Amino acid sequence: MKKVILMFLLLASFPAFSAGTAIKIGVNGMVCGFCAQGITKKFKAEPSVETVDVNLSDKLVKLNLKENQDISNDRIGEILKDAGYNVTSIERK
Amino acid sequence: MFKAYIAFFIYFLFVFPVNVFAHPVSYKDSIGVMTWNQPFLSDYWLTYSYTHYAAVAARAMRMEMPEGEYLVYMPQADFLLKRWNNPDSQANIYVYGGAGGAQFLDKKGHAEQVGIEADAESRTWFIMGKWETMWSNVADRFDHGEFRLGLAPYEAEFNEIASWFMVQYQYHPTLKEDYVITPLYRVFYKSFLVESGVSLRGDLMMNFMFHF
Repeated sequence: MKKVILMFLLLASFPAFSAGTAIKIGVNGMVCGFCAQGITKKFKAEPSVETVDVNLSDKLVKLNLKENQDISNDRIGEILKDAGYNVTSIERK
Repeated sequence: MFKAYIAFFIYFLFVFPVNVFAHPVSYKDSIGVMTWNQPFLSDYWLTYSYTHYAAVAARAMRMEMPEGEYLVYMPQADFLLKRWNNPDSQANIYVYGGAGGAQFLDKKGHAEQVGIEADAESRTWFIMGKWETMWSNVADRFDHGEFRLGLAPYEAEFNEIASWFMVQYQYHPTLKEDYVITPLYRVFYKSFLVESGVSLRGDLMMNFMFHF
């Protein structure tokens, strides 16, 4: 029993098990920070999204999801379409 | 009527959370405010984008004609006809049109207008052209052409202050000043944008786009 508890504590303290998923989204047409404000607004309204980081130089939107939360690729595509942009790639870590 | 329209516009600004953009249509469910202010022309837009390609707007204009002030206020429909999202640039074509009330000197009547706007931009260059025509039973037809070229001295990141140097050419043969060339400076940070310039004839221009 002690071994089980010890194992549980060890796993719970390991960062990879406590952090949410990170998603990198490649976006075309994202050249103006003023016009891209809608991207952060829309993603922040998603219950699963913890943080949103827009990088115009790398043409990337980076999402950090809340622990044990997920967002589908279809939903990501829909949000960016509603914001007026096109998704070129989605990478999850 | 025009004053009541402006009062409602200001009330709306302070009551509702709005987001701002420089295009006739923005992202879905956004509310935008745009104001253009020059001695011979004022233009106020309050726009709600119900999709990323269509919006409804309330618009009020003041124009200085040779005979006196010409006021127009109307609901308007805006459409994004085509957008090109490229890796390092974006280009758009918009059309819009509306019909509403007009007031010129002591006469009150109606006005209708249509417009088309096209722009293309990267993080360092910007080009825009638009044409509007307005008809009314109380004033001469109003044509308004506008052309802009802009250059950014640096590539601003998403949350940095962005600066643009632009030159604007306006053509409106029925106004007191039929054409006006205005060098201007545009700066924006997040959702607040302001631009200011002085025309070659000495007319001050102050434009705002912002959100609460």
